[in-house]
Amino acid sequence: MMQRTVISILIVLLGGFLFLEACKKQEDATPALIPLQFTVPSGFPEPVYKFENNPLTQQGFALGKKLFFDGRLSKDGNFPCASCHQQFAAFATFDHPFSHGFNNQFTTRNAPGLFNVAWMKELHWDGGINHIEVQPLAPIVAENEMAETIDNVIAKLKDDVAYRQMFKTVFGNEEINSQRMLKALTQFVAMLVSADSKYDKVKRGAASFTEAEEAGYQVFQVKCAACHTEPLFTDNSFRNTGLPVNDIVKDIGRMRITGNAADSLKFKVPSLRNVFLTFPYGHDGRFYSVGAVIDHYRSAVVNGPTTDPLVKDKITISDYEKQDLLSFLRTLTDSAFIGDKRFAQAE
Amino acid sequence: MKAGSGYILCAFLFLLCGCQKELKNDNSTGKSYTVHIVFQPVVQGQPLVFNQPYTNAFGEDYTVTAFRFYVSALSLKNNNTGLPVAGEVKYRLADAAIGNTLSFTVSTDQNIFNGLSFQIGVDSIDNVSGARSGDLDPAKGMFWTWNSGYIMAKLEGASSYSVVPDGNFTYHIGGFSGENQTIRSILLSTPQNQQITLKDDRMITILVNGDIDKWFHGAHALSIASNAFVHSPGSLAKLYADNYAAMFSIASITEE
Repeated sequence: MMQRTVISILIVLLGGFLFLEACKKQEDATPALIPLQFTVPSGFPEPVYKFENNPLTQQGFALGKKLFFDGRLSKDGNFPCASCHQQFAAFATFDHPFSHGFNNQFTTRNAPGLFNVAWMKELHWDGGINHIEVQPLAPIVAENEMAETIDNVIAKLKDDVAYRQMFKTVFGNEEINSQRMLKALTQFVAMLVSADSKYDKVKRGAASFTEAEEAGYQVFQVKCAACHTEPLFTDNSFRNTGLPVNDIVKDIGRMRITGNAADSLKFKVPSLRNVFLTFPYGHDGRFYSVGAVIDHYRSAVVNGPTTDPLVKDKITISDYEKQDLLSFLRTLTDSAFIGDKRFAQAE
Repeated sequence: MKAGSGYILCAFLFLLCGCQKELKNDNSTGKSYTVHIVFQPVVQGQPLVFNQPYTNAFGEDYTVTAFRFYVSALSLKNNNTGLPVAGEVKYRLADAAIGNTLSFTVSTDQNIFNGLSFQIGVDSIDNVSGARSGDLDPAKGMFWTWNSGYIMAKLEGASSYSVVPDGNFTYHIGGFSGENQTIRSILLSTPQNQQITLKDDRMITILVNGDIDKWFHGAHALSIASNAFVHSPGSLAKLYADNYAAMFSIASITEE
């Protein structure tokens, strides 16, 4: 009897131990990575970014998203990526020619919207960034933006148990370094695809243009599409569109990167997708309406040695054509994109 | 059965070794030699001491606070056969402030050499391939964030001849594409071009001096007064690259 009791107790203890072990194991186990699909929208070319070097997973995307919205990537905690890249403005800065940065400073260029970035070979208005993965380093260390050091950011992430767990899940162990942070951020940013505007629906045969939109599309194809090439609505080239130089900023554009006088005052052609959400316009945000930009091309182009041949004689657009053009450009607003919960800050 | 498959494996391995030997050049000894290569920053022949006052060829006073450079493709050369006799080293950041980053170990199966070659800088493909880790981690402070690309070498210090308000000079030399590229290949000969024969029971150390003065007066004359800083690729950066390409020499080869 006594022996039986001892055995029973032992069995219970053993069972309990095994149970505890099982629990522990479950806690330690890294959840399996769930692959995430990057879908190339119909009519789009293959993306520039090579996803095979950074396999997309739900967990990698979630980590990138957490980083994108985390103020700790900035010196004082106030300037996450999302402070200048707001979803409701197609990830541009809403209604600001320049964005606010650390210590009441302004940036010197207009924050571009973030969408279809996976198709960009060069980033920034001057194309100074040659790879999407290293882009976040620029705002993180810029004194007038996030004003932080790479080492400090990594140290802050390492201090956070939640991050350690997420990095471990995504990359196999708890090591946190700049490469891993940047690859995770890239998973989030590269997934920001905007290809569901009315224009896209028309292209898919799921909607039709109004008469004005159709007329505007005709004008667009003849007078704008050489630079704002479909389907990305940019050819990603650098051009001088004849904007007079801002005497305070004195921004020489692409020449700052190449050192080549032939690149003076050239800036990257921005996409016109979501153009009604990303105002103001121009590399320094000098135009407050799409109409003002069209008026620039109609009548205010300044000619210099590098002014683009396509605009140097100005572009003839009648008042009627301008109205139609505006109607067409409104069809490039992608409401599904700015309302997409996958890209919204976690509540 | 087990023993049988073991024999087959052995035979197969021998066969493989045989094949490999045939492909290699005849100088292979079949033995492995280890060679240490140590970079030693110097000024006027003496090891560099941070913050110690020096005078350059222009008579300008200066002190050094930082000196770092990327080393790769480190290999021993037999200039008679033109063949490399030792394996490569891929991108290591040599930092004068961190002693162990200045020494390298290469192994070779050939025992005669009379030259040493290496590259200062990071190849163009590795400047355009996104986020990197290890010695290429941007956190090392050798990566430009506003104009993607690695700083191949940097020299920082102070001088009363600097026109910058804080009296410092900062030469951050980079540029990887086209005519702005600052990657430099360096080939050094042994003293008096003597042929060195490695022995498998002796360790050889090659001491490579890097003369800081050459930054100011190497292939080109670049006074501190005329240029206190370089922070971007371009024609000036190229001149400094030519100068650092000329700063290295083999000071000694010792056998232990």
